[in-house]
Amino acid sequence: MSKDLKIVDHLFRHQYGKMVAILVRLFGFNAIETAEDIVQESFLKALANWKINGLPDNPEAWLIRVAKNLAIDYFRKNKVHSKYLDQQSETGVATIPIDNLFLDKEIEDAQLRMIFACCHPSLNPSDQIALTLQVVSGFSIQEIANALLLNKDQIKKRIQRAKAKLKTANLKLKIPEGKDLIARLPIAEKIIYLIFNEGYYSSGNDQVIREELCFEAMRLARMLVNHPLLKHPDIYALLGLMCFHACRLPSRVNARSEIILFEDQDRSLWNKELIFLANQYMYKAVETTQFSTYHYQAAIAAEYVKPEKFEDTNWTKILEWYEALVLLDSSPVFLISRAIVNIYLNQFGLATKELDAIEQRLPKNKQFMLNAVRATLFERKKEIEKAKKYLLTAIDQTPSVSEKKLLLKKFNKLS
Amino acid sequence: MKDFMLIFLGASYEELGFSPEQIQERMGRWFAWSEEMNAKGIEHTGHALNPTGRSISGPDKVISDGPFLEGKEIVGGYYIIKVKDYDAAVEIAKGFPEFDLGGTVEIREVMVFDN
Repeated sequence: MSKDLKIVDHLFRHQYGKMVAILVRLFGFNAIETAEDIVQESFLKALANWKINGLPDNPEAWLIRVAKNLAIDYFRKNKVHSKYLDQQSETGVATIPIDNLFLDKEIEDAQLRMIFACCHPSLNPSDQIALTLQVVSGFSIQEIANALLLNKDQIKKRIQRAKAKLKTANLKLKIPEGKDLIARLPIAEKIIYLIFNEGYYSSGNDQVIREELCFEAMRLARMLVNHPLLKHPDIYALLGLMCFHACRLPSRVNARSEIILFEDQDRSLWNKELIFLANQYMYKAVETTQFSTYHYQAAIAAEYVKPEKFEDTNWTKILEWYEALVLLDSSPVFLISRAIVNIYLNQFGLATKELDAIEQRLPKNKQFMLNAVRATLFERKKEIEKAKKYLLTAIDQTPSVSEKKLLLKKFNKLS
Repeated sequence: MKDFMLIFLGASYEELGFSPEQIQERMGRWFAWSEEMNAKGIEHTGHALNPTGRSISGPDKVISDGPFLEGKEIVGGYYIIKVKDYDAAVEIAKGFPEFDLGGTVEIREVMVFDN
């Protein structure tokens, strides 16, 4: 047996999104379940065959060919009429127009159409995320549930609701242009941003699936900018932001899966290639006069990874970027981060005032964040007893186990 | 060296509901097994079988469509391997990647008639 035995990482997952997208173009969105069934069947045929015979020369083409034949069979059996199949004769369906759909260029195109379908404004953001992860990214219900820290039934419900909505929405599967694009692109960016954040910030224990979410978000963003009409500065900024964060993934957790604080991270573990890539994306991102929140967040993330030691962090510069950011978006998370920067600049009075001002706006399950930051403030002021008091409050308030552990560690360090 | 046929029996994949990533992982296990045989210099060739088919049985030659028995016992494929004896064949068969799915390997020596 000399057949190649190495499969590209996530071949099936990525292929799933491509193939479902093509088949949905063929059948229409209303038959998305049929499309998904056909893709699944193609995969199982591949598993049964390749496991013994090794990989075919071009696995992707093999899968697509099988799916295409299954689709043609389906048409024949069910006498379905599609705009791609206007002639049906005794000798079989006209297959030439179908073939056109399976060209590389068309595959990319179909996938982008699918992404924009998932961004349909009639869907709420949490449904958009679940649907995108399933039909575009090829994640299973269980994998999505693990990644988003929800149970399978919740995810199933979200996806079913989203599909049902899109079926009644008289959906046009196309890449929006002009005004439509301007309206739809920010939603696509937001979904990608949220998928990344779910992977990067969630407190789930499954480190692998979380990192996969991060890289999936980056893959989706790259898919967008690969299209000539979608090379938008905001997406480049988002890509830069994600790379600046993702470069730190190897240093964030120790061997016992415990979170390592930013200041304690081993900077030699940071992925230099991703930092380089991030900078490349940022050059493209700044070719505009109008910066988005992604631009400023990327600028902040860049400032954090620039110095060789934590002590050399340029807090003044970071504060400037935060001031610009909160003018565009004054979410509590950004305001808290700005207060932290002020603490590092020894602006304790100002930071206290800022934290107090946010208190009203934070939901109960996020209050621990404020108290954890207050603890840092008093620690920096060398008022250790006060710092410990706030830490205890934060430990008491946080709903997350790993967060509790982290705060407890900090508390023990102070004692 | 003798030829042994390893016959793979198990549930049809349709019933197991694999995700794309799980399919990839399954494939990886089979490839690892094949690599293991390659590393030991053990020749192995085989075929995969479609889960559906036809069967003919009885004096009346009754034809029926598969899937045949309970889903658990479908022949999914086989390898023919060249090894010294049954013990060596059993050692190799222990690497079969689908025991955790309730699969079975049947090991049969290929008969040889020396005139």
